[in-house]
Amino acid sequence: MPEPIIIIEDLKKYFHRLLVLDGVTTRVQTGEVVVIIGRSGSGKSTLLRCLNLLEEPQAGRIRIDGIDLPIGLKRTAEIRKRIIDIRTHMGMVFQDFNLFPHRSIIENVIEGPVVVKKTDQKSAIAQGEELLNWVGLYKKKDNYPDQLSGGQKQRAAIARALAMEPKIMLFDEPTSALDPELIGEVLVVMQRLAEQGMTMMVVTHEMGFAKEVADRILFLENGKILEEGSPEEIMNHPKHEITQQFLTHIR
Amino acid sequence: MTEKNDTPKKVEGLAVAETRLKHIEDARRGKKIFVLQVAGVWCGIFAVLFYVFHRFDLDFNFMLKYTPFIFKGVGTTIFVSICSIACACILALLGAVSRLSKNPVMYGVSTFYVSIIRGTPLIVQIFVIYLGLPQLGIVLSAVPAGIIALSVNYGAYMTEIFRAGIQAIRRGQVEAAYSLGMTYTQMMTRIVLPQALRIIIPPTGNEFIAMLKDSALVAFLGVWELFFRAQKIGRQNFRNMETLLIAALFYWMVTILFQYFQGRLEENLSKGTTKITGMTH
Repeated sequence: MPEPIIIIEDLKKYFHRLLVLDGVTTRVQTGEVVVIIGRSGSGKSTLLRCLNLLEEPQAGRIRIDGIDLPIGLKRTAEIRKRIIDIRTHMGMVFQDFNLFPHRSIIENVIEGPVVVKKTDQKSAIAQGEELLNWVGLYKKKDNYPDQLSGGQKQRAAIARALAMEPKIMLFDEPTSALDPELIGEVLVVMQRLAEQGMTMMVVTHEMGFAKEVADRILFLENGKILEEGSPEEIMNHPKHEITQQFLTHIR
Repeated sequence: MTEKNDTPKKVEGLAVAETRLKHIEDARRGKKIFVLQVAGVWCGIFAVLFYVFHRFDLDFNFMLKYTPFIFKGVGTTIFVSICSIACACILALLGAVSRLSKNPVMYGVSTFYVSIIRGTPLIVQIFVIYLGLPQLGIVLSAVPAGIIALSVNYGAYMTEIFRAGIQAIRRGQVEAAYSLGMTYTQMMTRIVLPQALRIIIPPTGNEFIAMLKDSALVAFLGVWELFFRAQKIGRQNFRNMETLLIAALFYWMVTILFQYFQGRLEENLSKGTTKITGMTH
């Protein structure tokens, strides 16, 4: 088996004195879709945010696509460059979209390629339009984020992340801020992305999606992986009582 | 919102439309009456003012004669104010970014600057800069010295405006920018500052309007602006009230003019954001 694209070893993260991640260890293979579930406050979002250093863990090791994350190192120019390099390999989709409100949808999508990758405007727009077409938003390309529905915003945010041509996509509760009838359109896009072989880590409460799309489910509790396994194993035969309780609550 | 208003039963659609029209008409009439009332109040105030000025025993011929001379100061006043607000904006931007920085030198300089400038009178700062700089070997004429003093003073107040504007941008915007791989500078210049500008511009317009009047203080350095010219002629002829009133009128007119521009600018800025209307009261 080739080296996993994501290696997380004994990851520890504190918020002040509160231990949020208590020694998380896991590996993700290229093309794998990992869904992270757990109660609120269990550390699932923090785990995701540690992967692109939006949160800096205090201890442990993260290796993304052969690059070690600089954990606990002073942010010198060289280290900053490495962080940017890692971030460009990973797309992130947020719960509340975080589209840039002063930019039209197509401008949102080309922002990363043009500014970070220095792609020329023309080819960035061509690629961006293709992506917007893929998420079903080509007609909205010249609109501003405020003119879109929640589902459309999130699809635009996915297109913006994909424009960087990432190897890994991180989804932090992508449907939690959406009206129920808009959740489906976002999940469909995510499913299509998974089918194309994208490596994905998804924090979500959508168990239907987890069952359909996930290769593996991690159940986090108190900053630890309490159990992990195939959707079938976790959802139909959970080993721990807490997992069982959580699953009955969420259904 | 409109969807909810349109939901009443379709059969009664016509009746609903009619009552709603009456509603709008009532509101419109109410607004007209209000405007007329306000105009009346203004006319009353003008009448009182006119009476008061009449009692001052003003020499109108003298006023007419020297109005053009005083008017020549309007250009200088506007010039000094525009130069100063531009420099103040740069200082405020530097001040705010430093104030939000984790660098102890930047943070220290910024907080000291804001504290000392806000803690001392503008007129003192004007004299310290005008009289103090030559002692360091920097001899400035009155206009640049005045512009520096006003910029430094307003820059300190506006640092707080800029800081608040930058901090009003949600954390998620910064995270989204970083997650795309942007550097701090790219994130600031492309994502945060353009959005902060929309928040910053209205209060900055207010500062500019305040500065138009504070610029009168540079008259003490001998700058030939509105107030200086008014005082000069007034003193020469022992007709201070006349010339001061002319100057006041010009300041007022210039302020009204720039308030109009400010309104237009704010309208243009609301592009791409949902407008909040009907919430002013």
